[in-house]
Amino acid sequence: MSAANNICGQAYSLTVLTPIVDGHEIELADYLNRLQTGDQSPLARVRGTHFARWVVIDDVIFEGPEQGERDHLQHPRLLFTSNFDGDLEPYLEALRTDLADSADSIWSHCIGYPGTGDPDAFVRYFRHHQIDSSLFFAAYGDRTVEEVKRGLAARAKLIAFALRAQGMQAADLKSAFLREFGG
Amino acid sequence: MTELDLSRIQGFVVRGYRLPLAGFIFVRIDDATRAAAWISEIATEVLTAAPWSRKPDSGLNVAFSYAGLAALRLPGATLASFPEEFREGMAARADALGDKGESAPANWERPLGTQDVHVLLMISAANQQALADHDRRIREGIHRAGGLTVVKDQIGNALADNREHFGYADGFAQPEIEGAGLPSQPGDGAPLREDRWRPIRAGEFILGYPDEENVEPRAPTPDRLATNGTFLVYRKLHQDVAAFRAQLARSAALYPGGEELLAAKIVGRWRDGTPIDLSPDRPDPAIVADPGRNNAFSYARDADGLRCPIGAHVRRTNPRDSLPFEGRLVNRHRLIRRGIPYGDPLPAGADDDGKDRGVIFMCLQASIVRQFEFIQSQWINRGNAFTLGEDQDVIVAPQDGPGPHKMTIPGNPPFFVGPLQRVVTVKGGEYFFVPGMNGLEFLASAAASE
Repeated sequence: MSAANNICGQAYSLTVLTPIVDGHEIELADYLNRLQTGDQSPLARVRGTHFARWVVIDDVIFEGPEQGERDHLQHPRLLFTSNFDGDLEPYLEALRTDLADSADSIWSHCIGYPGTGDPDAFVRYFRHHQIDSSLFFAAYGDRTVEEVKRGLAARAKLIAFALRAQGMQAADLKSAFLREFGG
Repeated sequence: MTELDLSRIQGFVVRGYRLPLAGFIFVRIDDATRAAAWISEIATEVLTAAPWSRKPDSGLNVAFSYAGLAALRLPGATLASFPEEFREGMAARADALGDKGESAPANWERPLGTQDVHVLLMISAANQQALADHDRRIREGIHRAGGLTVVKDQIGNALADNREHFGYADGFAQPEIEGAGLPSQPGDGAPLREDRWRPIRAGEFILGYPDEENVEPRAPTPDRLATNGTFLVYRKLHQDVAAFRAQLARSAALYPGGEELLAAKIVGRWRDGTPIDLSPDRPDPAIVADPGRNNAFSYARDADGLRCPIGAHVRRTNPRDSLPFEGRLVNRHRLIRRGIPYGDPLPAGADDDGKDRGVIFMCLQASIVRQFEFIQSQWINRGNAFTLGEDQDVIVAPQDGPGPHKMTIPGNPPFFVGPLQRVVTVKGGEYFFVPGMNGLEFLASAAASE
């Protein structure tokens, strides 16, 4: 695993491809489709996650002229990608403890998944199936999730203020600004 | 150079008729065999894109929803070959389109958004008499055929000077289609360097021709059904004119340039249609009247939006060369627009009279998901593509989610328009397939042979 391919600023890009137990892919996809989104998503519990997703890959897609032999997957795969703050090991531990039951409900459909009960085995499983992200670009990889959220909140506050303050005389503007943002 | 099979493409696809009246008849198919016979009959009446020697007083075009194609009992493999968004229909796509709250399908005019809209007949006419005559003829044909029910009507009427209800002249920018054989107008095509333009590849709009990727766009099967066809988005948009005027006046009270300049800044054109890029200080009737100039602008020398704001309506919906890769991505998200207003104008200075008025927005494209839905969801409802954060389009976006909503007029100092509220509400809509003449023949025979 090459760190350069998985790291941008302080952010890490994790890519994990795990084989699904034969016949489980529909049940797994249904479970994933029923997951809540936004703040209710189980991923929202895993601190430091910028963006993460699961994708069920049934088979490899071939686009092009007919060929004598076509490659197929021996087993369908579950793709999990996550962009998060900091190092891999603490994040895998956070997946284990914060996703908890959700992690088991998902990866128990995958071959060889040891469960969240055994911390070392859990980490080993993900490291074993990790692949290089190859190209990871984050527009603001130096900023943590918390910093981004604070920045967005400040932006929203400033927009609301700018709309209210437009047209104010300089002295009023100054005192309004200090009331809103001072200390 | 692609040559279009003009006599097999429906006329309104290739050129706007610029006729002032429109009658829309929505039909439900109750009997596939009778409908098939009726389709061969109306096919003879459909106005094609073949050059005309004299502009007709009225013209007919026809389109089918997925429910309509299913009601014709086309083979399952043919039905399944249509793209997912078309099969689902506009109502099912409400989340992606931002059609929530007042605009939610639950509040739409029935039967729009239900399984009862199968065929859309569009009559364009030069005057009321021509519209009434053509409308009567069509309805007699429907009645004679049997097995068909008219489920809805809609009238469209152009306003004076090509204005829409908010008071802007509309309909300038239309993509120049390769092989259409129409006069070339600078600004209509794809941007090249040094203010030059080339036609957009026909496959962006018409199935069976190479598109901007130089491949034929994904199309339903068989080719006989798909070739020369296109997809139509029909969307009835109510415009709250009093709310729009009040919102503009509230912001204009603080804007140093005054109300008309602000009105021009939020749209990117002065009310008479003068591009603000070409004439930043005042409307210029000479530019508007000149087809060689009234759309001949790019944003190459206005990256910061100091002349035309980055959030201006015409810049968001057609960013030309202002997105990365010199507009090459924009070329994949162009629309042929064929809208027409409905309802009477609200007199200047009048309070809201509670009447329904707005625009029948219609656009044509090879891929609804890549063209209309992308523009609506990514360029109108979200600001990210333009680094505008949460800013939504000031004219047609819902202004939903956490507010307050605003638009920025770049300058020193910048000016913020807002807080913005929704001034356009979706009253209903459908996705349609517009077959070529060959496609109409296919539909008539496939349904009849069932």
